[in-house]
Amino acid sequence: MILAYGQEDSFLHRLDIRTKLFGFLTATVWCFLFQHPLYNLSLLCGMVVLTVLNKISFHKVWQMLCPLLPIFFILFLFTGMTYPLDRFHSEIYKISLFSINENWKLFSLGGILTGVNFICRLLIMVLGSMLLTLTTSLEEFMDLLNRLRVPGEISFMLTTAIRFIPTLDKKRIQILEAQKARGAKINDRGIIGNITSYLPIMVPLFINSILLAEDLAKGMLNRGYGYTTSIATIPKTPLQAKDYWVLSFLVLLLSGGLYLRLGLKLGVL
Amino acid sequence: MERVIEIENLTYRYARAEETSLKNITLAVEKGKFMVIMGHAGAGKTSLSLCLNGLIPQFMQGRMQGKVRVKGKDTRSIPVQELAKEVGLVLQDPESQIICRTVGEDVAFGPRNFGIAKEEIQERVRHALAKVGLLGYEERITTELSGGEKQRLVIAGVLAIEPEILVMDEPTSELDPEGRLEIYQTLDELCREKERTIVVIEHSSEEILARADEVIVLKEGEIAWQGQPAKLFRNIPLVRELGLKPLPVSLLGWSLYERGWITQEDIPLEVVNAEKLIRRLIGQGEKIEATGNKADEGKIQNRKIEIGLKSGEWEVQPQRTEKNLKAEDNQRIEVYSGTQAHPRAKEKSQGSPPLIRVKDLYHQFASGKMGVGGIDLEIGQGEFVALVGANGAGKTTLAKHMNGLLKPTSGDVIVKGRNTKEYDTAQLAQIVGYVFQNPDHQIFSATVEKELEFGLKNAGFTGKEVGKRIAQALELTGLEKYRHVHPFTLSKGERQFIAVASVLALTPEILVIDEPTTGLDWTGVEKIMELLQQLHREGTTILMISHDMDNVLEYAERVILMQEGRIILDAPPWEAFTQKTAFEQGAIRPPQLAVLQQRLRDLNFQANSVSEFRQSLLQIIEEGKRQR
Repeated sequence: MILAYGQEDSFLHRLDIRTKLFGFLTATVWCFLFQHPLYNLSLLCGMVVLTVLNKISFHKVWQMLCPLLPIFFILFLFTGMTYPLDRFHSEIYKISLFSINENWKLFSLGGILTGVNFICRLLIMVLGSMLLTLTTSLEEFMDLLNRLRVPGEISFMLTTAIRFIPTLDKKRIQILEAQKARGAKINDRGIIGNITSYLPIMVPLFINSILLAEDLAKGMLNRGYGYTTSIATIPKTPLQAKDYWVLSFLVLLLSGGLYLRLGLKLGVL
Repeated sequence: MERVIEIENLTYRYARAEETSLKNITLAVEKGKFMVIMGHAGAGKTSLSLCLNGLIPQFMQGRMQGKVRVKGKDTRSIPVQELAKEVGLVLQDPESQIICRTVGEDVAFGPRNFGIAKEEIQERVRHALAKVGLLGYEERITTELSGGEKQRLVIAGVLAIEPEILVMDEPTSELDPEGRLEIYQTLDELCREKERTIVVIEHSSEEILARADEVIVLKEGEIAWQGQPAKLFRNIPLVRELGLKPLPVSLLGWSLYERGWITQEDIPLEVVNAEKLIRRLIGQGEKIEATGNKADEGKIQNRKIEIGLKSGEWEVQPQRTEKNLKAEDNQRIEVYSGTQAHPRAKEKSQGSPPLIRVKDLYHQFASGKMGVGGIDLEIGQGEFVALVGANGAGKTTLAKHMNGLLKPTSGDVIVKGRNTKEYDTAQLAQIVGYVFQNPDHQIFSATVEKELEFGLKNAGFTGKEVGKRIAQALELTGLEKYRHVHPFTLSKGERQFIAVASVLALTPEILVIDEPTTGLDWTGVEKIMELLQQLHREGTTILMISHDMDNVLEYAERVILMQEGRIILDAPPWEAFTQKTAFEQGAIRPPQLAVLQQRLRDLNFQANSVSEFRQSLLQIIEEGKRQR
């Protein structure tokens, strides 16, 4: 449901949401464990393989990543240029490729690797959340929230926000068309355009989303949402064999990672 | 009778609003009644509906005075969710009320919230879906439903909670005539259960006429009129004063009444009665009255044959099988489809090439779905064309090709000699103005003036020219007094005019307008149609997408009927609406007056416009009277 949850039937689609969430957590912990990009790159490769195996369209992934590209570039540039050299333990990473004077060294090897690592972390988080949301239906999320005894108000807010996204996207297209018809030269493929050229899109989108949010909340109240604090009829779906297999693999991966980083002290710069 | 809704001295003012939305409303609704709330835009209809299940005052911030009791429960103190068990409220926009992914899950959402046992939920879902005619749709994805299906799903979602009272806010405003009929048939079904009370807010008068037990008309937050619908619609000055749409045949009846030919009770509201009345006035009616007063529909049919009515498409002829009829009509349709433009278009554009030329246009969406196919069309300079058809027939898809918002998958669209494939929408914006259905999708400036400036600046106008054009557009649309006002402080109808003005400032030669009347009240509709007519007179070519066939009949010069992405009929309105099968196929109900004219064909009079029709009818009656 989030970002048009894909209805295909794949391995990830059939996994329990708890397993998937644990997987997401594992990836998060893993990617913050290591400073050296090698480890995160291998995790990223694994996730790309998962994306392919689970028939998630590259078009969707690209749409999601496209606006982030300039951020990646800036991130890389800044860490590469400004990351303090004394943070690196090993001497080779302090080698600078370009220095202005003794005190101002740009593009140290460590800085570049750190930049790459940051990008990897971001990519892992983006891809991970996409894998999670594209293979999990809104109902599963809601069930989980209820099971976790999340207060009604919070799950209400979350479900409202989630339900919103496809509708808002439709609105965005309608607004874009309306402004184009008035001669607005909006390059909808552009990455960073003139901010002012986005105002004609953003302002109506903002106003419309407020109106929509209110309607949605009314609609949910009309149907008795929040009448009882928990929805009584949640079928207790037990974890299946494949969930246990995946979970044990994840535990192994996590403990392996922890051992590599804390036991063997690998992955530091 | 048990009173299920009791309202006493209800007054409500929204937070930060200057005006009171509801003033001193006192009202009681009895169990099992079908009640309709009407009124101009901003009259307080929606506010009143929100009061009925406690969303006002519990959800909306504002000041409420007075008392509202639903089945004896005070809406101030009982939570909305609990009142939802008694009052099912269906809001205006179905899109924002569908919460789940599949139809089955969505209908189950309500009962699930009430903690009902799983087996019973399934039973209720089935029951509710059956009532709205969506049985078998359980596994369908909600976002893929059509407009009418979505609306019915929303009703089912509320019915599954099994409320005794059903309140609906304009359940059909965005639907095509067929979809509208579907919803009202659903309501008829629900009405049959005597236990259920139904309250509907509605703009359109035709559907409610036979159904409503009582009509309440709000005006500026107050109850301005209350009573039987027939009484209201026979009083044309009152209908106009209240800002409602008069029924076309009742307008005709009113002019007869004004001449003193009939009494007010005689003013017809339906075509059948109008026909009877007219025949009686010209002296053809004695026959029926002699054989058995107030003939029903069946008798009229017989009589038609008796008085030698030439078999028109509107009469079902026993010797003609349905198949034959279809074949005949298909032949007739053939004449108009194909590459030929309408004769009048040719006449108009003689010597000069047509302004818009569509050649073998196909458009396939990214999803693989066919939008339009095999469209050949020519529109001449200065024509007023109405594009009609069911939801999803491809009207908007075709229209969006005119200014290059959509590019042909194959074929060409040539606008004023420019092939839209080679031009941006921005480049075409000065030739083709496009007004969308929802003005709120484009308004982003802090004043009306700035809003109009946007298009002009995009087109490269500067300095004095901008000011001049803004002034012109404001004058044309009557918005001068709002020049420095924030658009969102204005009403929806006025915002629609801002959208129109911002397009008109560019003085486009072609104006495409997509359902200009959706969500407007009658006064707004009339205003916008008058504006279109004025532009048309001044030479603007107009392409209007519309569901309102009365308007099409009255204002358009040419009707293009679409079905499943194709043009199935292209003719002047009075001629077009005689093609009954084509319109049935296209799921469009012809307007009252066109049907009436068809039924009175034996009287041999010509009509090419509404006023002509009215004139010649009056003439015929006058002659008939003189002869007697």
